[in-house]
Amino acid sequence: MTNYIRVANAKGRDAVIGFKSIKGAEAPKMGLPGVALEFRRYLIASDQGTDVTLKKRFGEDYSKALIEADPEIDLETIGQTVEQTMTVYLDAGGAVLNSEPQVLELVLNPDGSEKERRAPMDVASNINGEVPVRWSGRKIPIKDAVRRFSFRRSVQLQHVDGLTYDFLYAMASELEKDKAVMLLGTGEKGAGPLIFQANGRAYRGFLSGQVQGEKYRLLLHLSDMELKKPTIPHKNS
Amino acid sequence: MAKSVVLNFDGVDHNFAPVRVDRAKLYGVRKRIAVDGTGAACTKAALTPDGSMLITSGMTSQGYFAPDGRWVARNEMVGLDIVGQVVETKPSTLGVAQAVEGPVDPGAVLHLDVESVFALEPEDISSKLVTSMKSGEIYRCSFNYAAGLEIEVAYLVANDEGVFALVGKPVDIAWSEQGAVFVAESTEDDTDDLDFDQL
Repeated sequence: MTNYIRVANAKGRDAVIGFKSIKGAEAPKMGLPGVALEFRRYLIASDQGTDVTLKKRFGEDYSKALIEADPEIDLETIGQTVEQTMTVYLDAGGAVLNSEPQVLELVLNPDGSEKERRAPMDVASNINGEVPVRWSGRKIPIKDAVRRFSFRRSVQLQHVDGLTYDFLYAMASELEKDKAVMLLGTGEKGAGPLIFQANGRAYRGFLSGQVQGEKYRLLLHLSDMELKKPTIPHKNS
Repeated sequence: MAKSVVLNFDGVDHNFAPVRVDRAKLYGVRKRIAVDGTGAACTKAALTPDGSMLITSGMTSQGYFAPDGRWVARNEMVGLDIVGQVVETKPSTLGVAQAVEGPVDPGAVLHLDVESVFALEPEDISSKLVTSMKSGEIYRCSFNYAAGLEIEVAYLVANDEGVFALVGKPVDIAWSEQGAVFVAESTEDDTDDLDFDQL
């Protein structure tokens, strides 16, 4: 993923600047004090010990066969560490496909039901191309924005030289003065969503700013969701 | 059913029923699937590099191992912070009254690394707390949906749709100064017409 973004200001002047992700402090992890644990993936069954195979061999209720003869235990295989593997696809009958499968995009409704099947479209990143991410001119007071949108990610915009320092400082200063976030958008009209990487998630971008003397903070808050109550129970909820 | 979120405001406990909110529940979801020649969905499997073994669903597990090769059970492990100190497990806050702080500056919400969002259905929609939030005030409290190694922070907001808890970790954000050089990491006019459905 690129760490640079081309942004235009209110006057339409644009510059390529840097950004970095903002994350909370690293969370504690599970472990043993003073012991370096290794995470491993390992085999717990051979192809003769899976539920599907056992049902084929012994019928739906194969518990008696397991107790009497341990057919699921393969001492040569079980416990082997699984390291590098290649992904393959199996057809509906469980046979390995020898050619590339067709890939479809499935669109599901909020209740989990299928809405549409279509050919997938590849979408390019649009934050550092010829057309800058535009300062839309649509300011939303911070007190309204935080009650209306869920911000999934935030990135901090930073200057890469003296000129871009002035460029970003001015933006931060204006936004702090107005106590507002500015909607940023892509495309010629500046109305499109921001896509940070190819086929990545699309976001609405909202810029907030603060200044303190000669220092500034310019944050781009990314949202893919409004604050709304789900109206339909989801199949998986 | 999950226990209630209990918020103590002005010495009075208020109960809310939490429902997790995510994009899929509001707008649906798009996902890519592989299909075979008949149009039936394919399943993924793994092949060892020498091609000798096809690993299908249910054939593997994963876990942690000590340097001597011993498998370490999950219930043997404890929480460790970044310097290796033991961290006590923090219980869920559901069903336990949490003190509400605020109103807070709305800008504080922008310094939260949001991990989850909950819609909170109030037991009493005319309570002083709900009325205050509906008027635009924002509050904060401790929030852990499940027991964990940290206590998270929730900002409590309300709009015409309802009351919401934005749950996550506050972040410290450095100021940008003129002399500091950026180092890349390794890797129409009405706001009401913002289209989230097509994102």
